Amino acid sequence: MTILRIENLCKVYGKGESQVTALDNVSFSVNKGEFVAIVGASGSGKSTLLHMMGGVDRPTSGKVFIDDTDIYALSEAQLAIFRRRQIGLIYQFYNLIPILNVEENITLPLLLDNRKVETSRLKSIIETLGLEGRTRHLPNELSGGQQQRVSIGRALINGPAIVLADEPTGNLDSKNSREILDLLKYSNRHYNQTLIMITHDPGIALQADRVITLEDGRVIKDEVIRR
Amino acid sequence: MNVLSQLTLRNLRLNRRRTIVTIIGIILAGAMICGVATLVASFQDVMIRTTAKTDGSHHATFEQVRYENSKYITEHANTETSMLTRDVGFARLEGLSNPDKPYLVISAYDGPAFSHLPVNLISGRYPSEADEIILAEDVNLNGGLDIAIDDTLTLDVGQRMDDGVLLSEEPLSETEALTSELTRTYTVTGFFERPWYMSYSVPGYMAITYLDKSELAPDTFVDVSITAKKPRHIYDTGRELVATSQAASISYNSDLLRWMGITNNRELGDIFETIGLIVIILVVIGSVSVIYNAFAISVSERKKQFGMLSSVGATGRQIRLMVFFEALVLGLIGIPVGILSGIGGIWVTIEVINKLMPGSFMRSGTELQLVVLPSSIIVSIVFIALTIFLSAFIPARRAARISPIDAIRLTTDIQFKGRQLRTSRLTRRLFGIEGELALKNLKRQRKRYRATVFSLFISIVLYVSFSSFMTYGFSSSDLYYTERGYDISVRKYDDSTHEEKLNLYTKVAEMDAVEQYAIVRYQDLITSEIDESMFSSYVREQFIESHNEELRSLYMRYDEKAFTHSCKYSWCRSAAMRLPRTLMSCSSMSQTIWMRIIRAAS
Ligand SMILES: Nc1ncnc2c1ncn2[C@@H]1O[C@H](COP(=O)(O)OP(=O)(O)OP(=O)(O)O)[C@@H](O)[C@H]1O
Ligand SMILES: [Mg+2]
Repeated sequence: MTILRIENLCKVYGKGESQVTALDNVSFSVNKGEFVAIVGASGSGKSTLLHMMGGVDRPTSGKVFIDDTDIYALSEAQLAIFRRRQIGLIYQFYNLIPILNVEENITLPLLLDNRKVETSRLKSIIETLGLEGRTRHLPNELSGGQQQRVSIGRALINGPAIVLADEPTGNLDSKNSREILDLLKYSNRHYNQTLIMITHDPGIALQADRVITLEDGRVIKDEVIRR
Repeated sequence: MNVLSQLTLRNLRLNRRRTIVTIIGIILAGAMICGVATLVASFQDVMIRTTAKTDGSHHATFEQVRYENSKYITEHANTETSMLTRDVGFARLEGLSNPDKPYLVISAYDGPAFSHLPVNLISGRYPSEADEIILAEDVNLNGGLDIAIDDTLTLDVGQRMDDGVLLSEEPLSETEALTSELTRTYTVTGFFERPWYMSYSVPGYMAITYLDKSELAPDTFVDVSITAKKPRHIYDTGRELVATSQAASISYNSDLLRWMGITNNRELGDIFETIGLIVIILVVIGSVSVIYNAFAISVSERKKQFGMLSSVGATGRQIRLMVFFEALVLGLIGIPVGILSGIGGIWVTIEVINKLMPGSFMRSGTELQLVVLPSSIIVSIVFIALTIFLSAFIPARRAARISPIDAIRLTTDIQFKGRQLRTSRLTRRLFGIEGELALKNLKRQRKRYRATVFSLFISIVLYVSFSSFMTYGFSSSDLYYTERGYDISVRKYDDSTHEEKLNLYTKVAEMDAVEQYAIVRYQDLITSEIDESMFSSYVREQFIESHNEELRSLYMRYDEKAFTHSCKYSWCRSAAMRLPRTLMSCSSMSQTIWMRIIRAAS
């Protein structure tokens, strides 16, 4: 079952001489429960693509369907609500709200929706993330790996249609990297969570079900590694 | 409380300094608005009390109404209190030493009239029977008598007739005689201050007896004064009642009414309210720019936060509400404090004024009092709330428009383009690399730098305009409502010529005791020679409207020097500000001249 479909996606930055085509007619689709790695040289358009899929920046042309919703046909407010409920974003630099504590950061998407937090579910997520006893801490009181776990918790809390991660381990040492990757894989395997992850690490890419390679804004390779 | 409100509160707590500065801005705005409103209300109050004391607290007087018709006035729906007065006539009082003033000029007042009309009792009590009387104190002081309370006077009361012509307030004529209407014995129950409106040329001293309604015949003419239940409609009521009661004329207590904010001229409105409103709007504009800057900086510093919230799915509306919630919190703290300090500030001001001129505000014995009207507080709350809302509006919209991608790219909150940071080679050569870096840093923070300068500028402008408004307000009310600045006024009252009078004044001026003097000339002009268009719009609105068809003359006061130099009509405009506040009806075209000793050696 297709959860994400991208059609002829183009993104052009700037005008005239300094014009940069970051994405050039990209099309592919992703099935539910797939774990996709996106690789490519620096500047090849990986982050740009991820932002388009995450509904945080608008494409120059082309369409993105998530769960059969044409997300850029939505109004600004509808898109914000869609992000809140259906998309989990994980960044290299965590992007947590520094003055909210761990628990508040994790439950932020729920709180914005004025929804009650299920204590049992929250507890199990916090246990899975290994953040017990840290729920009242502020982000800057945590290590990089712990902060990244908080941002994973925030991405997963709503049970989104897709989780998008932009070099989630780029800022971490190898031990932390492995643990973060294991967490993401765990959610992919156990909850059938669709996961799209940008990485520079060929070793990590090989753990995915499928690897998409970008070059100069174009998909030059799309190979399935396992089913 | 939802997570965004909590986030806002934490932001406010973390940026304590900016929060405090913003609250101070709100407090200042609140204090100024509430201060102006309170000051206006207090001024209005003291002017109303002063005017009630000098001119009476009635609103209108219907003159020469037949007693049988007075019921139309007293029973009218808009009549709150009504008072009857009547000119009884003149009586010769034996023993008076001033040859120009042989009479008592007797009026009769009923009970309410004594308490509402400007009769200021010095000793004793008001009459309550038709055979009781109070006398103006100058009957003893100027008339050389020695009448005391409880003395009885037997008077033959009549009208002044000169060759078949009825005289009223004209100076004494050699050929006049009194008719005889009634003889009555009065008991003196008190003395009152000589009223300012009583002309010096009247050949007698004022006396007031009690008006006993049972003695009035249906066709006796009385004057009926009223206070209105709805003073705003007094001019309409007046017009209506003149017709139904067949009063000869009506006069309004227009000074009092004007201070109450009621004029016949709708456009003019209450001058104080208008000035107050202008100042308030000025304060709002100034405060908006100061408070706006605080919000703008607050929002731009939290750009990343807003972007992050947006990327996890906060809608524009939620973010806008966050900024407005911040405004609400700041307002809830700032507004009450601002209002209280505004009232406190005016309270101190009033205390100081009263200490400096104790009991003598406007020379009337009334004191300024702090008047805090609910409407002042409501107006303040509305205007400050409006100020805060306007200030937060644009920053809130800007915050809501921050896209997640902006936040993702931002590492810190300061964003700039290379071009803006370009410095000239000259800078480098002149100041070296340190100078160049300093300039770059200043340029980088240009926005904040500009905001600071702008806030300072606005505060100074506000301060200057506010204080000059206060100065102007005080000095102009001085100009209008008091004639201070001299110790003694000397006036020669007889038919001597202009030169003879001038000679006397010059002689007085040469006396050692006189340190400084001015010779003042009043000119009394007849309307046939004056045309409304000759007056400045101020005079037209202030004086001519309220006395419309009754305008007969204008008193103008000059320094003698100014008079000789004044050209044909131009003084009408230039002297407009110096117009005495009451126009009196004219007797004839005349000039009066007297002098003022501004400073006399003690
Ligand atoms: N806001 C922007 N304005 C102009 N050009 C941009 C902007 N953002 C990205 N680009 C350009 O678009 C291209 C793709 O950028 P993108 O960030 O997607 O690369 P990337 O594959 O994520 O690189 P990296 O691996 O270094 O993160 C680059 O050439 C970049 O210079
Ligand atoms: Mg990237």
